[in-house]
Amino acid sequence: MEFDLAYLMAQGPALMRGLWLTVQVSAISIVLSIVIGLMGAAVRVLKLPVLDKLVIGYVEFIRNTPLLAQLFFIFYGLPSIGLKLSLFWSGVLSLTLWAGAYQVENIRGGLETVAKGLREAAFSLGLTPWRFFRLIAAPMAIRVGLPSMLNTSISLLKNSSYLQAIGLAELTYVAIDRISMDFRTIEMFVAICVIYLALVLVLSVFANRLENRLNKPFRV
Amino acid sequence: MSQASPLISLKGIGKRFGSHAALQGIDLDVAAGSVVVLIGPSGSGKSTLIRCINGLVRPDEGSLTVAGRAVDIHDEGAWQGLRTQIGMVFQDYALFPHLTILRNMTLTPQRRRKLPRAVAEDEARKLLARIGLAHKADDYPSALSGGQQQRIAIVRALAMQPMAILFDEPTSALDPETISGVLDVMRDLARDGTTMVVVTHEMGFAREVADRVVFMADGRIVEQGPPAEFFANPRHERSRAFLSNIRSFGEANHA
Repeated sequence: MEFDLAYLMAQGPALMRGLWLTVQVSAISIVLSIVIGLMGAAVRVLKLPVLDKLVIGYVEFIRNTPLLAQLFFIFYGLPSIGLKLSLFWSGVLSLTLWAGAYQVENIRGGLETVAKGLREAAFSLGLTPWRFFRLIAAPMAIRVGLPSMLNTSISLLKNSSYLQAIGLAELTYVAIDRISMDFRTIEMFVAICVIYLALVLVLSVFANRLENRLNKPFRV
Repeated sequence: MSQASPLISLKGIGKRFGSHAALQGIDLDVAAGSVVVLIGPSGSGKSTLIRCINGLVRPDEGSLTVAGRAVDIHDEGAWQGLRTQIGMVFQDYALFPHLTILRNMTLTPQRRRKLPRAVAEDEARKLLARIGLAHKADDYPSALSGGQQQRIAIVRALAMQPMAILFDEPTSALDPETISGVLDVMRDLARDGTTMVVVTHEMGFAREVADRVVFMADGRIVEQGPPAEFFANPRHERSRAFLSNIRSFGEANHA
């Protein structure tokens, strides 16, 4: 069996539709997981009673159970307690919750490098704790935590291929679907791996630019 | 009006950290326009005391009156309001490293004094010009020396137009050659009638600029008085021991 480039070209439109879904689901989940990460890290660093324990429990639960089991729980389990989400939003929810747990830890690590003195300085100027977090601590924590946040985001992007298991027609689903019809295994897997690789590279370039920008104040 | 009521008045202030009594029975009055310098051995409670004036450390007991109004020491909202009126300068400057000098100075005036950005920037540039650093407005703190950063931290506090400024060992982290620049700015402020409470080990500054020297040990005020009197005739055994230690250190340094 030879590599059939013409076949691959013919599958272009289907792959593009899968790619578009992968991009959408990943982009939304990356943004939401960072929001969860910021909130969870703030709760942890400020040691808010009760909430603190909840965040710890959430992080441990997510990090110590398989993503696939979490995904099935959300897609098959939640409807039985009356919460029925579409395929797309089930996917977003599971990826967001999964990556959010890691982002909490990534951002918490960054927050802990923000010197106590800056907090005192911000408070002494009359900033409220919330404004201190938003204007001072969060931007500084993101700078420090950016490399690990990028790692988590890349994992999220790659793990979006799990969503084929619930039938969301993202990139991997498209490949498997075509293979089951045409048995062109090599062509389809080479194609989607190249596409995933390209997506990860784009994400890395974006993160590097952001890192350069956030590091500007610290270059002498 | 020689008996005008003090701008800041502390009565019976006490603070414990666990079983350690950091401050006990502190009574301190600061008259408007005066410079009060706190000195004493490390661990004597000086830094804790000035933090009790703006609530960075919340006292357990006692009362605080600022500009004739009692501050509810158990109400965080009251402290937040007070902090917009009392500035503070720290040992490690604590400029926000991810913001330009100009942004460091306009951040809170825009938010707490509700100044439009252009007005806040204009005021900030004037303050920078006053300390000879107008050309640094768009730099980041990392590009500046410690002494320059500390001078900017002082005018950053001034940009809130506070009624008083607290200084917590403002020159302790500085290279010797940059200390005088910072002390010059502080002398200027004192000359302009800025109310200042200063924790410092710079005895020359205390002697020259202070209206009153307060000597602390073990969380208490041991004695206080005009600097000429205090340095010439310390009344208390602890003060004498402290001053003679400092003198012998100074002589060893200059030998």
